[in-house]
Amino acid sequence: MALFIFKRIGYGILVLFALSFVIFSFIRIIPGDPVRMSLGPTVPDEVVARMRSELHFDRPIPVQYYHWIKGVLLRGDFGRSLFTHRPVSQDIAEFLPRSIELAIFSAFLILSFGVLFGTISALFRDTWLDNLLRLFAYLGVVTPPYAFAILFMLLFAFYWKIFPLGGMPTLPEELRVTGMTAFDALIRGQFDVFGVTLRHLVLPAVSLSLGSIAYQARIHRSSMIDNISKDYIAFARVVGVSGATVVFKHLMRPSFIPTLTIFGLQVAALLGNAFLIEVMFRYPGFSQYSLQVIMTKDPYGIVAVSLVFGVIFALANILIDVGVAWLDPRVRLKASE
Amino acid sequence: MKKVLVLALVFAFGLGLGGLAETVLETTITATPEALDPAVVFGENDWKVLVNLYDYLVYPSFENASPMSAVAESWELAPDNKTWTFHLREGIKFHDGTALTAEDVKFSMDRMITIGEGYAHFYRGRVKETRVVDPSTVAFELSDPFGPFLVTLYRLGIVNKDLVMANLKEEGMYGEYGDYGKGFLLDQDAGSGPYRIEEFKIRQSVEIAKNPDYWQGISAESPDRVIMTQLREAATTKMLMGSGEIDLAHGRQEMTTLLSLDAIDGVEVALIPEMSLDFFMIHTKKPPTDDVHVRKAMAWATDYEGMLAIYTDCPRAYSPVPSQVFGYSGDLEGYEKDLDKAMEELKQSKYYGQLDQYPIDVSYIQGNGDTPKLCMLFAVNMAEIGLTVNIVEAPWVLFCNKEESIETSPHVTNLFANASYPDAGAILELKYASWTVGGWNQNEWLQDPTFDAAIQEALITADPEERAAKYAELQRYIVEDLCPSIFTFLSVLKPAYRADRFSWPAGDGNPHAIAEFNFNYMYFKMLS
Repeated sequence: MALFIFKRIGYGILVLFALSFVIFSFIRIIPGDPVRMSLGPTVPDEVVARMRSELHFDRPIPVQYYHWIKGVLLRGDFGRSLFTHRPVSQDIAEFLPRSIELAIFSAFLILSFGVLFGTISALFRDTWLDNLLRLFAYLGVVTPPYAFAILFMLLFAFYWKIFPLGGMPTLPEELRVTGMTAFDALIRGQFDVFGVTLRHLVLPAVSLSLGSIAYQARIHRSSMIDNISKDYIAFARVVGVSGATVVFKHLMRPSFIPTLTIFGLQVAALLGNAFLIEVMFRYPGFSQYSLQVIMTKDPYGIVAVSLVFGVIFALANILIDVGVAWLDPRVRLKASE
Repeated sequence: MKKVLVLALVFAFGLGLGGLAETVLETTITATPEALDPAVVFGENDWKVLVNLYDYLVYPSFENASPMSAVAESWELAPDNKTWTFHLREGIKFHDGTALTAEDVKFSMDRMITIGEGYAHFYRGRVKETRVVDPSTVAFELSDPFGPFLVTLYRLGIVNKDLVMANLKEEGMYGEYGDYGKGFLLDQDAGSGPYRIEEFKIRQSVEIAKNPDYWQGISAESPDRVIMTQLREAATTKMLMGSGEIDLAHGRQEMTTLLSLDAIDGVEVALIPEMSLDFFMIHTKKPPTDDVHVRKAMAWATDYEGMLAIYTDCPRAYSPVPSQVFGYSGDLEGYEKDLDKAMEELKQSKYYGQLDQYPIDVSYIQGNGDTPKLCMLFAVNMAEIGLTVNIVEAPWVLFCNKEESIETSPHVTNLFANASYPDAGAILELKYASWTVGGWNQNEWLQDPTFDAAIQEALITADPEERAAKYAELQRYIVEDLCPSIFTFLSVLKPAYRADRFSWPAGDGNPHAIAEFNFNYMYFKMLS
């Protein structure tokens, strides 16, 4: 199993290197001078040339890549953003934890409610409850998150002032640990800030996760219905195993395999798909930052965010593989060979 | 005894002002500044913040942006028109309590020129030397006379030399000056303005707090703190304004959003003309628009009234110079929609009869307000005289890429271009001089030696009347002889604001002549 994980990590690192080189080269090949765009049309050419030189943009692409990757590996330095004028690593450290926090909160909702609704639907197949949940699932899948966002903001923040209209409280710099406000507030014992942060997280997280909850519920329902008709379930019932044990021990575990696979990818995608939610709720997250660096053709910013997404998807895939191997003895056995 | 007196004073003060809680003005901006450094930034949002943080030698008047004394109490220009001497006001202090002296002014100018970014192009190659005559006198020696020099100083924020020097980073490209304090001024201020920076979260929000020791004095009615949050999303803006969580929304909302905001009780919309015009920039080196008759035909065929109906409340433009800018020529009649005249011009063109072989590409920037509608109307107008128009929407990056070369620049682009200082020379040079081609502000590729010589001559003219006459002739030459652009209307910022929360000059119908200076919050009065 350890070898299996080691191999997966090794492949992941190779893929990330290839990804970083491809993105880096692509950004530098496409026409247009990001330095000129950053400094404006009236800045003299010698100032533009000086900054290009400082950023190594006047060197061949492999040399530029060498300087960049050396900085990343030796100092964790992803280069300087041409638009925030700060180290990209500093930008990532600021924006990424907030999006991870939102993703964790959303992931919790997706897994809990997706599995719950999928299980109820499967166990009460073709009843009014199943039909109702399936209807909601269809609505959830076809409705874009920003539509939920507008609806929830209007209902729960504008008319009934239960939740705030977006924004996010910040902790003083000296209390910062991970950059995730709720988590930091909790471990620093700032329970009032923790409560306020949770209130700010509810609407964006629910808006972001509803589509995935619906999708997850559909997947989990299908998976459970497939397994319900299996011989070993019938056998367990015949030999008198209790209904709860059948569901939770023999039915839930194998049904979880496709659920987990989809869930992993959904969580990784949450970070990239949260753009509109972050904009609408004034949530200063990584998705918004990523889109801005792309729109402004910020070269080091683009490579860095691509790499971060690459790492997140690679990690998600590894975790899914490990999780599936843990759930499914056949996979575990094959992995250990 | 002293303690009793102090307590009594505090008590009395408390009774008198007990009802006055700290006042906070919540506003939105389209983007947070890129830095708080006057030597680096050049954008609208940057300057909306910087006018509050820094002081300037001279300050633009509300009515027409003419220079008024500020840090400089008085100034004089030497007879050779090359040396400007400024006498500084005593007693001005930076936010950290350090006195502002001539050394700081020299440092600010030297630093701006060395860094070379932002508005340094006003001074690079023009300011030969900055001399400290004495602690309260500074002189700028120019290499040649530069007529608009005084008004360019509205962009020279005076930074605290001691504070910046104490925060230099060794690593940097400015030799002994390291990074010249650029790292420090990313999110800190080194100014003496009516407000100081409280918190700057890049791409999120900027919070500034009143400077109680401001040398001009600052009214108790001005907001104690101002929070500027980055927000472009229309639905959120409407809800926040409706629930009273923001007091002032940025002025670049789309028309439908603006109408919704205006419909909210207590909300009004201010109109702030910018030193900026909407241009259809016509490529003068590419067939068929290289023929002046085709360009004039296009100008006569354009439906200006229709365009004004799209961007309501914007004054019509008749010249490339915004009407509130010094040197604007009000004598020009420009063009009106007249299809007969358009056809007359077209018939004189060498391309007449074969124009169907020359489809015209009209490009605009994706997501740039209502400009797609302007381009669609323009296409309809051109079809009326037999010109075929292809409308091309381009993302900002691609749009700029195309502008870099004469071959890839489209026939026509639609863009707002603005004067960076309140003088006709600023926009005439930016739009039509041969040394400004290749940027997104000049799709015309005019490269006209007559114009180049005349604009250089005008810019070195110190006498305002004489300079204005030269600008007038240049405007006539552009509009009547060359017709390289179609000027539609003056850009107007339309910020929606809660009139029940505060009052401000722009809301009272007296906007400042330079749009960003309307957001100097010392002129705001909180009502509740």
